[in-house]
Amino acid sequence: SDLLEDFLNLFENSEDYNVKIEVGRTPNVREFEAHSIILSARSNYFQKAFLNYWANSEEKPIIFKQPNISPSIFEILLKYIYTGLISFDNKVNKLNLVDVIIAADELELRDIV
Amino acid sequence: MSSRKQPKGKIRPPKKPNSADAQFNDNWDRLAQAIREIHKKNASILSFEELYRNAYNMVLHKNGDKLYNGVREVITQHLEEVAVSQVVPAFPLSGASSSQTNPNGAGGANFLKVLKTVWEDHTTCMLMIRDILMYMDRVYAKTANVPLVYDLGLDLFRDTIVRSQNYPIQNHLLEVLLQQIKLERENEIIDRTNVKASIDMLLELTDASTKDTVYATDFENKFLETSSEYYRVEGQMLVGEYDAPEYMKKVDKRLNEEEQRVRHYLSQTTEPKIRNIVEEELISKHLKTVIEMENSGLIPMLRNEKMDDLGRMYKLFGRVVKGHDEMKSAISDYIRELGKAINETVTSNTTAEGGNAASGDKQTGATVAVRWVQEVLDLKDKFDKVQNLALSNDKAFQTSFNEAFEYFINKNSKSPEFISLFIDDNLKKGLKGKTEEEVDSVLDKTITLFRFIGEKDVFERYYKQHLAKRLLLGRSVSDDAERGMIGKLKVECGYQFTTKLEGMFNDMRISSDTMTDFKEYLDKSVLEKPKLDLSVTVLTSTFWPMNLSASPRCNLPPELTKACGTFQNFYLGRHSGRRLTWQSNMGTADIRGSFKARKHELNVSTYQMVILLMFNDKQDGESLSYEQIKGESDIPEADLKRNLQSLACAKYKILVKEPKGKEINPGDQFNFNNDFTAPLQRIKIQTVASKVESEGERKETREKVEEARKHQTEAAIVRIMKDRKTMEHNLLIAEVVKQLQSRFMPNPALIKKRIEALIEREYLERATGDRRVYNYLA
Repeated sequence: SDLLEDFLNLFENSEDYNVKIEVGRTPNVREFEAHSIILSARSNYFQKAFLNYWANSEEKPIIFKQPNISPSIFEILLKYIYTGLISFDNKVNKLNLVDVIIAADELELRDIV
Repeated sequence: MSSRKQPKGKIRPPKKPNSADAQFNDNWDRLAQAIREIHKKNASILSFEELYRNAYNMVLHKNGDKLYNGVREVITQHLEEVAVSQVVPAFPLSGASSSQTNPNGAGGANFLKVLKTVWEDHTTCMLMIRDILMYMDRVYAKTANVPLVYDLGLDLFRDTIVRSQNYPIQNHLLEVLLQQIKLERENEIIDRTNVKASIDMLLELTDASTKDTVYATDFENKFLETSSEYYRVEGQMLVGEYDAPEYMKKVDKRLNEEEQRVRHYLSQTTEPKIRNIVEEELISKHLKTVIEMENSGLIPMLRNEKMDDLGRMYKLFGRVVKGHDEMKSAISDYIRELGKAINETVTSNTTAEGGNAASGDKQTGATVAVRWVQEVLDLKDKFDKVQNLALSNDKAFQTSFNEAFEYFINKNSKSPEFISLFIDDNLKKGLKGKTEEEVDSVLDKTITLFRFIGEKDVFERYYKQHLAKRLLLGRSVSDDAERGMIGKLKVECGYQFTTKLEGMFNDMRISSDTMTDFKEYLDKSVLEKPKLDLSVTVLTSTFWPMNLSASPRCNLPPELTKACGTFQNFYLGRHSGRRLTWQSNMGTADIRGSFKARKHELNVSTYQMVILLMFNDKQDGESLSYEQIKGESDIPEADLKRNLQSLACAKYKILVKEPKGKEINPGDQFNFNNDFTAPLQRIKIQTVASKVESEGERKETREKVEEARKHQTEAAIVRIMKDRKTMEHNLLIAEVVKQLQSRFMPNPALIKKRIEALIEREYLERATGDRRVYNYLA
């Protein structure tokens, strides 16, 4: 099995997650489960966010709020964070590609921008 | 957890034309409040993602500049407050400089401690502020070309705290730092951590105009100035109070301390600067004083062989430009002085017994020579040891020592003769009781002295004479040692010189074969056998130093004359076309003498034999006058006097002289000493062998040397001109000097004379047109 597959697996079956990210505004809210170590490694933004003095490590899981990004966009980004891939399948149309880029800019996912 | 707040339940104003402003105000209020919380160390109640989003929104909506300026204002306000509430109250009470009221610099230390806390708080806060303003740094600061927020924080700290316009923080800080360092120099224990924190802080801050660190612009110069002053005073104090070794130890310690200090809490860039200051103030400025310290300076160290102190001085003084030069010249002067003293003992000795030397007291002469060489060797040993143990075998020192040795050795005009005599002494009796290795090492050392001699040709002349006497008088103890010495000389002078010496050895070997043949010849022949055993050594005249043209006269007794004739016939019969000349001054004879008590076998020189045989015809008690002996024997006067002295005035008195005395004078009467007694049956009358030359002989040797130099100079000129065909005067002189200097230093006037002689003899001509150019005439 290769690295990509393993990370894809990690992304899809995040059983030992330690971060819960509430994404979107009511009513369009979705909760994502993720691993802080992977988020930190991939994004400057998350790396700072999980520093000791910002995130209380005693609190498990860490709750993180990301209201200004829509869940469908965030899902694309999260998958990108885990795998480095952006799946331009039927979910992504030209319109929300711009939203992906805007969101990536906010989250310091520099490669996409 | 409380920090995870929901977005504040504020009722947002409906979207009006100024809704962007409202949005801005809202975002900014939150951020400003958050920064204040951070300053209050309340960051745990804040939400990173929310604050980040606030800043993000502001930048996104083109309010980056307002955000940036707002942040600057909040931080500045905070730092002003810190200055008033924390830094100013921590000012040392009565100014840092008055250490009387504040003996241990405790107030200063406390001030540094407060500053350390303030600085650490500031940097921690700035890290957090940087986190939430990450988007501003990336998007706004880059395009607006302003410092990133963390650097902005550093600049604000620099201007509001460290270089505060409102409070004398800078003065206090610098004074306290310098005071702490001064205390440490005076062996107080200070808290280096606090000092280091302040120094590190100054190193992190940048001066806007020079782009250098604030450490470099504000602190370093002051530090160097005060250090300079400190060590200037200390240097003066130390040279007054301590002797040289102690002084150097103190300096060593200071250098070490300053190096440690830099390593522990200053910037590495300061290291060479402070080192230069200590070196300048404690070494350069007091070089001469320390070197010349009475009873403890360089010369006393050398005298007492204080290798550790010398080594310390070498290392220490090597740090500064003039250091080693001063040492070198002081040591060289000292060597010259010691050398002069050695030379003086010799001249005072030789003049004291100058009369004796001229009249044949050779023992003292040789002893003086041996002692002179031994003393020079001892001196050489001493400085070799210094060189080895204290000076790391520094080549420059070696060169300067060698020059000093060369100088005083050549000041003694007799040094070539002395060195040859010393070798002579070692190759004769010196060998006894010494192992081959010991002799070899003595001779090796002697060779090093030989190198210092400027007039090597003079040495060669003496060496040949001494070797000739050793060989002919059978005084050379070991053939191997002789050849070993020649090998060493070959390395130094080349084969030209040594082929002649080797020729001398060859003659000795062939002569011994010849004598075997001569004995056989006598056995077989019908001729009357000589009444004595004749042993002849045939010498090739060009190899040997004897002057054949002035062959010494002497009337040999008839038996001997006859025996010589027999040999001459034998020899010339075998080698036609050769000419034999008898060197009666070089021979020895074994004769038997009957005295009242017993018979003794006497080993004497040929001359002595001639003299003694005269007494055979005399009655007991009948005396011969000096004039009678001289007339009958025809021995040259100087030789006669010397030989009579050996017979009548030395250890074994075979003759009795009237009047008594050490000197031989015209009119003296000589009697055979029938009452002579000696414990040994076989007696060796010391022959005129190695000794320091008398003035007359010296003059003669000198003339011979000068003559030889003329030939060598001409030969060199011809050799060069034959090769170059045409050459300018100065170039020719230079080339001749180059070729000859390994043997002697020819002076230009001599060379010029030889050139003129060669022009006269039509080997060279002056070029037409340019009188300074010579042409070679084939």
